[in-house]
Amino acid sequence: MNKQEFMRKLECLLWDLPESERVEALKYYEEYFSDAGEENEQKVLEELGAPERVADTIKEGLRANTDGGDKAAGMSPETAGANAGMGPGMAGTNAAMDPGTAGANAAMGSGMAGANTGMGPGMAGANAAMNPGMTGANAGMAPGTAGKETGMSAGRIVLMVLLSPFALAAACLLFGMVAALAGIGVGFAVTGAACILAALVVIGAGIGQLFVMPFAGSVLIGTGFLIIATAILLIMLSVFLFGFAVPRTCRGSVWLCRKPFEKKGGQR
Amino acid sequence: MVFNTGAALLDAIVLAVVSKESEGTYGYKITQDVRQVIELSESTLYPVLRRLQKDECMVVYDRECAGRNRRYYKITDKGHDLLDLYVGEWRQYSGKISGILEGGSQT
Repeated sequence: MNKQEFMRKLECLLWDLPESERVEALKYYEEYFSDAGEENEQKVLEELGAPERVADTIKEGLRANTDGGDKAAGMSPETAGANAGMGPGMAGTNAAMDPGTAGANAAMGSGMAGANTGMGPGMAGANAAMNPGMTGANAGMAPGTAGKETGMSAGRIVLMVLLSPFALAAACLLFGMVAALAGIGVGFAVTGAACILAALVVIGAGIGQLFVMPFAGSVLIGTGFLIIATAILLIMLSVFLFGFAVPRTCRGSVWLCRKPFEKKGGQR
Repeated sequence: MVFNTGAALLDAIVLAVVSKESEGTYGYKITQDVRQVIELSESTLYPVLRRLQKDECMVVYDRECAGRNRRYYKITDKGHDLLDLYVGEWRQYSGKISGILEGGSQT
């Protein structure tokens, strides 16, 4: 990975932040790379770790800011929620990485060389320990599917966790679409039925008029038949919607939901 | 380093580092300076800077440097107050810990 890739990924991962926060964070890291210099790019990338992790840290910081903002402003010594990276109080996805960080600490404890040499293995330990940490967290979330998950890579799980808000939104959207289609179908059917009733009344009136005012009577009868034609069209549309579009959409969404899992099975 | 640095202590260190420069200082340099004294992952500092900025303990401004803009962080009066509070707290805390660990004259 190079700087561009890192920044692009980070930008994608911060999609759910307000525009101002995203711009601010991206600017910071863009500058950070520039100040470190091109020759240090790889080193910075290694130390920053995965963009996912950096994004989590940024988001965690923002959450802490809103949750504990008052306390922090009140200069309480136990400034709430703020994280020091290695702090044990980190929630959510970060919590899953804590075992990794703990590993880093342990490695440093036993190594205990100069600050810099201690750092190298420490960071490596953190990275290596990240995968089991993530898998563990996920298994904890859905114990029933633990067996399946051993086949998933940590990256994929991270991706799925990150995409889960999208998936939820997509599911809501699909549900809304199916409901809307069904609603339109019902609407067509009811309108069709009402049209037929109205047409029968109009034709009846037309036949009555035929003997008094033949011209107006035939116009009424003709209108009645036109309305019946419209009604039949509407009912056909409704039948199409229920018999074709709604089932298709349902099947389509089921296929969409299943797709990520099938792909994984195929790769194994 | 076997000891963890808590959030408040990290805030204090960052404020102290930033307060050293009357003209303000920038993200990369703050990170390097803080890393002189504690273990710190490079990604940890941004949220801290952002939070201190939001709490009005620091202000940011852009300054042209080598053909591009660089964001500088500068401590505010409120930041100085908070730093003073932290320094006082730290003196008490570290004194007590030193006392018990090194067996000084503290009771």
